[in-house]
Amino acid sequence: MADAENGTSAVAEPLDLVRLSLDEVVFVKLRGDRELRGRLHAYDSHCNLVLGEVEETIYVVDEDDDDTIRTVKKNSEMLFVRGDSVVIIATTT
Amino acid sequence: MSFFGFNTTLPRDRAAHAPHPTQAPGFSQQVDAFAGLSGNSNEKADDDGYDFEDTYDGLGDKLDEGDDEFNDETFGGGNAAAPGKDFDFFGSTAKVANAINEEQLLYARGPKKPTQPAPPSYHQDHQPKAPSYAATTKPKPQPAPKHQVPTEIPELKPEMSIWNTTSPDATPAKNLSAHAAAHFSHFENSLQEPPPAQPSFSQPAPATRKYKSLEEVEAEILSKKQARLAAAQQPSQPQLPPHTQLNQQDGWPGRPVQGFPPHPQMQLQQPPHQQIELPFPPRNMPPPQQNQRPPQNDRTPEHLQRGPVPQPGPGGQLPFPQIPTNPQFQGNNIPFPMGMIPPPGPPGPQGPQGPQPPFVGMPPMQPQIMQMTEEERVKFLEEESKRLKRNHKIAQLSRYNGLMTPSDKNFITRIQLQQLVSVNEDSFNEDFYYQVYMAIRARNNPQQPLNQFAQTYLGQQGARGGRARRQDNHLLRMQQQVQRAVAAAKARPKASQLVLEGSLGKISFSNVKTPKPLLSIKKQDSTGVVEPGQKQAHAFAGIDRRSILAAAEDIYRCLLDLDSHERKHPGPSLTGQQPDANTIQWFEVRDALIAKLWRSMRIMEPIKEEPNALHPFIAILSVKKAKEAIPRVFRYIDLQQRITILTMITISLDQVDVIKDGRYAPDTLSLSNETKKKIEGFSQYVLPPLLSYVGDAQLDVITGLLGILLDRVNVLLLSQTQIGLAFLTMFTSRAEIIKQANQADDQGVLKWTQTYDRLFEVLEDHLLDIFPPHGAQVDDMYVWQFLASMAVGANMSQQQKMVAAVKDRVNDNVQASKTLPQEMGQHKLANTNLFLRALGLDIDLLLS
Repeated sequence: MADAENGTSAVAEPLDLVRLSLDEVVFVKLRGDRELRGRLHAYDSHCNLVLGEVEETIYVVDEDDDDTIRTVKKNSEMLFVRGDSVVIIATTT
Repeated sequence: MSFFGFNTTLPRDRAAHAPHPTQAPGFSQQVDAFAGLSGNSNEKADDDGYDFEDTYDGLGDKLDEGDDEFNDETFGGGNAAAPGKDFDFFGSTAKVANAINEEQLLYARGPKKPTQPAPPSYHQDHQPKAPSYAATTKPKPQPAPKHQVPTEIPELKPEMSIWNTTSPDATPAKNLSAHAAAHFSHFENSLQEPPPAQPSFSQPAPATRKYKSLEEVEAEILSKKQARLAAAQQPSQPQLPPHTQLNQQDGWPGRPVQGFPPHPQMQLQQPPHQQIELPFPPRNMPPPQQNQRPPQNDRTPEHLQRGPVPQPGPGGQLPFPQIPTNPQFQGNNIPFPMGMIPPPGPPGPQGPQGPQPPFVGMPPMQPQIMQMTEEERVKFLEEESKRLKRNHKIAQLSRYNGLMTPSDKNFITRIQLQQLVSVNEDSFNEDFYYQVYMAIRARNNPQQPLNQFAQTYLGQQGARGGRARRQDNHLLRMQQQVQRAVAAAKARPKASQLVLEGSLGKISFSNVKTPKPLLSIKKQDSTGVVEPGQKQAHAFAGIDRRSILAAAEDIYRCLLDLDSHERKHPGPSLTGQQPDANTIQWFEVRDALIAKLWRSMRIMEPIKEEPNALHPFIAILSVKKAKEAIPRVFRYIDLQQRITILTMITISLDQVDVIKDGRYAPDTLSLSNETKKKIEGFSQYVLPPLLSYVGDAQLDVITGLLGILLDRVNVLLLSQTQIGLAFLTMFTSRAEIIKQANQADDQGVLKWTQTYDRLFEVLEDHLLDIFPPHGAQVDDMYVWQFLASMAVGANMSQQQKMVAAVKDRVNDNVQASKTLPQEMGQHKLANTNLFLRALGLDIDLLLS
């Protein structure tokens, strides 16, 4: 019974799914053609995130060069992501 | 008399007898009383001019006609010429000085009722008034008196220069300097003795000629102070001042700006004159500013206080010619146009009254003050001043009374309540991280282990709660009240459905506060009807990652609950004292929470016999955050539960991710980064609490655990991983310590030795395999630690086997240490030395 209680209380609302990914490496897609991959340290109801050991990928359309897409990668030790730019938070396995 | 607004062509025009035009500006009621009289007397004197019947009010019948003989003398009636602007007050008055003095005496002896003006006083009054009014209202040619006396009036100019008063008027020249000097002395006198002041002011005129009589007057007046102070006396008192006026201002013809009002007014005006630097009689002004100040110093505060208080009653103003003594208050008088100050006007008198509180202050109090000694008076006045100050303050404060409506106040109250509630809330709810951060920063000893520190800050919170409990009590009550109110408010608009009679269904509506619910998602905390088995199957059927994560989150949820509960610790109860209900309840809740935490670890779930089945706890442990939770869990669980965890991990050791993944694959020289981190995490978070437990464990426990390992786990596999070796090292070293400390009985030691032998047998031929590949580059300390712990417990033959097995490795390390940088080389040698020392050797032997 208690187990059941625990089990269900773990996921009661959508953000609880994000909660499951706390301290895990998550994939975050952002507006502006950016993607992040990093360890989720914290989040809040606005989907503001704090990520650690982040690898950021920016997709840039190179207009000079026949509209090819090139990517820019950045690494950050710690990153705060404002929630309004978050499109997807996904777990990585 | 033109200055009275009368027809000046009257055949027998006599300045003083002209009826007072009541409409004349600056004329006061007080004067009006006299006007009636004068009108009558005038009527008698000449019947032509205007119709008596039209103006006669019948008052004349009541008049005492007996004193008219001196009218001519008094008013210079024989001289019909217009007074002109240079009316000679002094000259005129001087002529009648005797009469005036007599009148004074008369008056002083027989106190007169205020309502009946005395004929003599009337006469005297009018003389000065006439010119003054003329000056104020209509600067027409004035009666002749000026011509009569010029000789008597010495120059005033020198005086003015002395007093620094600039007088635009040239007229002052006519004043008597000597006379002014006399005035000064009088002023000084009067100032020093406030009560007699009044008479002293009237002195000037007589002073020059009849000093004696003045003193008499003073004595008389003193004896009748009280009587005179009554408001009734007002009309009669003016009689005295007029003398002064006459004397002082004789030489002053009416000035365009301010005529000479009857004495009271005039005196009122004087302060303004001083302030404005008007040319007004220098004799009056100087005294206040220079001579009189010193004596008055003690009284100035009184004036100050009295100033603001309106002084009702004309009584105050009239009798006191001392106006000049109150320089401070002159400002008050300024607003009043010269010559227009209404005698009884409350504000006007303030100035003059100030200096003479005893007399003028507050009518009701005057008698008392008069009777008091100087000391008492000062004291009384001080008190009075305090009272007035207080009243003033109160008046200031109450200026804004009633500005806020009740709803405004309610609004403010609501805001305050909200703040109160939010402030009162546990600050940890508001800014937990700030609090913890500050607690960390405030940590006294930076070397303090984090583990203990966690205790510190939890305990601190407990203490805080205890400290604030008393004060929280009523706040708590209020908070509850507010919450109840809020709950009630929330509950009210709950009805979102309407069932109309006769309708077939419900009409649901929504408003801003209760939008129509499109989704109803309820937390199922309390409604979980799921069967445990079912749920378990669901959660761990495939031991999917999500279930593991959810389980880990459960652990944290319980931990956080426990932590926050810990902060509510009621505080340590005194020994020998029965814990109160609060404490008991707290412990009950705590136990319940710990039980919940324990369940959330799922450690008690049965171990499945299937070969690859992963125990939930071990599965959960594979998550990094679960590993990190172990030390925190160990804080709450008891010994039995700790050994359960240790046992569970030991039994499933080969399934633990760090073991499973911790083996070096045959062809790889190093582990993956992820695994390295896991191993690091495991040794950082999970091993220490286990070690601390093992450090206290009995030999039989160690023996049992090692036995389990040997029975159920592939020790060979274990030995090739860092964590596996760490476990083995943990057991063997602890056992060795127990053995050497003789803390175990022989049977226990025997059992242990058997178990140890089994372990040795397993590893005997694979000692080299426990080293990580490329050991020269990798930190292999844990291997040497293990070897050392094994060597300590080994018997001679076992030691020889070990030496033989790892001899090459030792040499390798010695060689490697020489090629490696100094620091790493030393480290490697030290590691190797661990083992050699356990054997009773030293690396130095090899090196040399």
